[in-house]
Amino acid sequence: MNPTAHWKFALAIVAGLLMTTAAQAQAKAPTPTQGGSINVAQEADWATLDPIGMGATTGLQAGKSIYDNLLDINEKGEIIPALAQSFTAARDAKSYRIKLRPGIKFHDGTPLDAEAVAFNVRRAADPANRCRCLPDLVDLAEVRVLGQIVMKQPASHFLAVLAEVPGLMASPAAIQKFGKDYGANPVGTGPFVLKEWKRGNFLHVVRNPNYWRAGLPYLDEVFYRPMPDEQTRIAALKAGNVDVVLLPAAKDVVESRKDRNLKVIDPGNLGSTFVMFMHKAEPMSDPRVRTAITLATDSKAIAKTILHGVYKPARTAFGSGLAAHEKVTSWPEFDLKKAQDLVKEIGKPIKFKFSIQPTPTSLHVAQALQQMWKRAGIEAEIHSLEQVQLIRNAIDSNFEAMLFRWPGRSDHDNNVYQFFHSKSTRNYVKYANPEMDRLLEAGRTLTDPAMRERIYVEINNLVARDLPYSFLWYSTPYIVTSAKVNGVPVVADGLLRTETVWKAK
Amino acid sequence: MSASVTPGADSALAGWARRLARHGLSVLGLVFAVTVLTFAITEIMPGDPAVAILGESAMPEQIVSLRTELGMDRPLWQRYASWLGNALSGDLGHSYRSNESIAQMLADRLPVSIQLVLMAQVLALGFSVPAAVFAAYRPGGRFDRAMDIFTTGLISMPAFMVGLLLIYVLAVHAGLFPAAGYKYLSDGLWLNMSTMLLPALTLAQSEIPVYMRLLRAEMISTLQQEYILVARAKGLAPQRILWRHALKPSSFSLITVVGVNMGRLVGGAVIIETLFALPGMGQMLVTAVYQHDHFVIQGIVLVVAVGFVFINVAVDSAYALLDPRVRHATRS
Repeated sequence: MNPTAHWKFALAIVAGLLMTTAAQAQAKAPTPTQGGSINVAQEADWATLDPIGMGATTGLQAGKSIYDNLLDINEKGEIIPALAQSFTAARDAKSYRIKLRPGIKFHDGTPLDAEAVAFNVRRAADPANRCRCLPDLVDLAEVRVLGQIVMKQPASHFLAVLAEVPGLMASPAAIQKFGKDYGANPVGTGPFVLKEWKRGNFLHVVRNPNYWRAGLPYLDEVFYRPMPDEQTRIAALKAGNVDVVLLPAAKDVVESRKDRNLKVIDPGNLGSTFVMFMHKAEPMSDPRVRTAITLATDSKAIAKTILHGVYKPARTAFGSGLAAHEKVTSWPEFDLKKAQDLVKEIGKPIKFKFSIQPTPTSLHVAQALQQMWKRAGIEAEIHSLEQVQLIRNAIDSNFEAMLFRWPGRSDHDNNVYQFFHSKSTRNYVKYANPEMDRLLEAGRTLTDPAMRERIYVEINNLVARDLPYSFLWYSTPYIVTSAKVNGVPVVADGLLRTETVWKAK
Repeated sequence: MSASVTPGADSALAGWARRLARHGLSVLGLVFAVTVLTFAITEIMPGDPAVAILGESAMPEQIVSLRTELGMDRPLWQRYASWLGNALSGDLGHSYRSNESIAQMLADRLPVSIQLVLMAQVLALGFSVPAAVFAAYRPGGRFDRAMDIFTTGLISMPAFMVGLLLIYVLAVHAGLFPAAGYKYLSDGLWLNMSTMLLPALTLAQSEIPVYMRLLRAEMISTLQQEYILVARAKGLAPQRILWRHALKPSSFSLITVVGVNMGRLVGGAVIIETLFALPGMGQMLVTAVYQHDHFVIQGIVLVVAVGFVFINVAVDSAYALLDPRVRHATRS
């Protein structure tokens, strides 16, 4: 019932298993069927289809049908050109050159040119427009019409940002024409064109006959249907009323795997769910307290029982789609004895408020954690808050410990810099360590992927020592489809890229 | 009222209008109180519309500037006054999140909810009235006892469970109806009905036991009245006695409950519309509450409150239709 889905991102299978299935599917390589339509069930309707009003993950689902990104990420997690033909980063990571593919037109016939790109990026970066993506653009200095993007300081993560909301290209002509109502009248260059949007019922998009990728899309039309109840979503899939379910519940992933008529796609993951600790106040300001809590946390047991074994326990801020995933040597693994000894050593009672959102999964997890911690002599009082209030408290750093999630982003930097850099406004836990700041800045200066990976592994180990967060599990945005649906690309952000999807007759 | 008014001219409609006029002031007061209360409740509701709009990436200074832009820094009464002023001139405002006109949103969503509630009432009454009449004919008989078990069963099952059962049995396994979604009347009557039948049935489920038991009890006591005995002695057919003579005087409590239940059903529609993914007002309300879309909540509550008041005035008038005593009492 709860459409907020704090938890629904978070499901998991072993990535290796998935890769074999993907490889098998490719080996058979059946010829895609042209035409047909699919129905996609999702948990809620979108408030707007204007890129600047979209959230970084789920809000993008329909956006990916209507719009294209300048850059995109592929199944291996690499940044690839999309609307851009090529891109180059300056050595100092302070500027980028984007070369556009020639001849691409928006759905309204206006050309996608350098001016349109500059218009879109500037629009997202203008604080007055309140893009949810604004934190990603604070370092942007200038967008030049000749395809050059200049940063205030080194920002090697910025290419990944262009694969997300700020890189979605909307028609400037349409934005000017519709003004405040643009969100209901989106015009992009994407594989599908908006036909009709009946809010709360369906969003109907039809094939873009002039799509720039030759031969695509395969489908004639896609319907996105908001179905707030997760049981209804799966029932509708089983009844054949919908073909794809986004963000199924953990138990439905387990159920669907047993159903021969359904396919479960594990796209991997980018982010995680964790407990965050407020560093500036007692009792969490004592690093031994954070360590004791982490030692007392049996994340494997939680993953196995409450999460039906579809989530993988987490020790790092980086999901399987990122190179530094699980590369950590010093994570305090579950050890009740050690936790108890540490609590004794601290020598005073450890009591705190544990803020959570009252969704069923959150409550179960919180109660399990409360019991686990209690065995080590740590007393947590569960404090249930409505979602928006919880977020508000996080922003205001008004909590002692909080169960939180970050769906994750396609570059390492976006999973850590904004949360752990001492000068970041989103450093909810008020964590400050000059060594961490140095590493985070180094990650933005370097452009070589191997060298960057080394930095983020170091960050993993520093996080494991300082414990601003205690990680619980990786958040996998599963996709369940009917067996007839093919061609869903397996990208770790869990977004359904509809242009390559086709439906067997 | 003067005695010169002939009974023929005193149509139901005129009586209804008269009642509405008489209730006018209290109706206005009630609607006003409801809107004040909702405004106050949305105010103390935890969470912040600015945070709901900006999302978790919101920066503190953004929140402050957006709150100012939304007028949230003004005192509560000022905001209420300007909302009321606009609402009285027919402008219910725009959604914070989607910038849609709230009047338009209501115009899109209200028909779905009305259809759902009406279909549920028709299904519930269509089943309970004949069942109650036959059960009352022989209280304690086989049919009566079977109905007793049946209604006990119905009343003990929560609506969302019945809904899911119906979805699994009739939609997933039998494939008779779609599991969820909505087709507009313009898509065709059958398509529209096929998407509405399961939700309406689910909504009707909890009403059936109440209607049935109420009417059955009233019928049993009516059937013990002397005039029924006279009718029987005259040799009238039991069917005729039941339907013509006993049903009408027994249906007062039922009509009251049916009227009051319209409000309950609107509440039930919130769950049913969410379960069956119907684009009605209930789902709109849930979304608005989660997104802290205050004016949308306010608009919905206004519509429900006004609707509820009108239904109750209508129920009041229905008494007059059924019972001459009420009609005459009003006139004098």
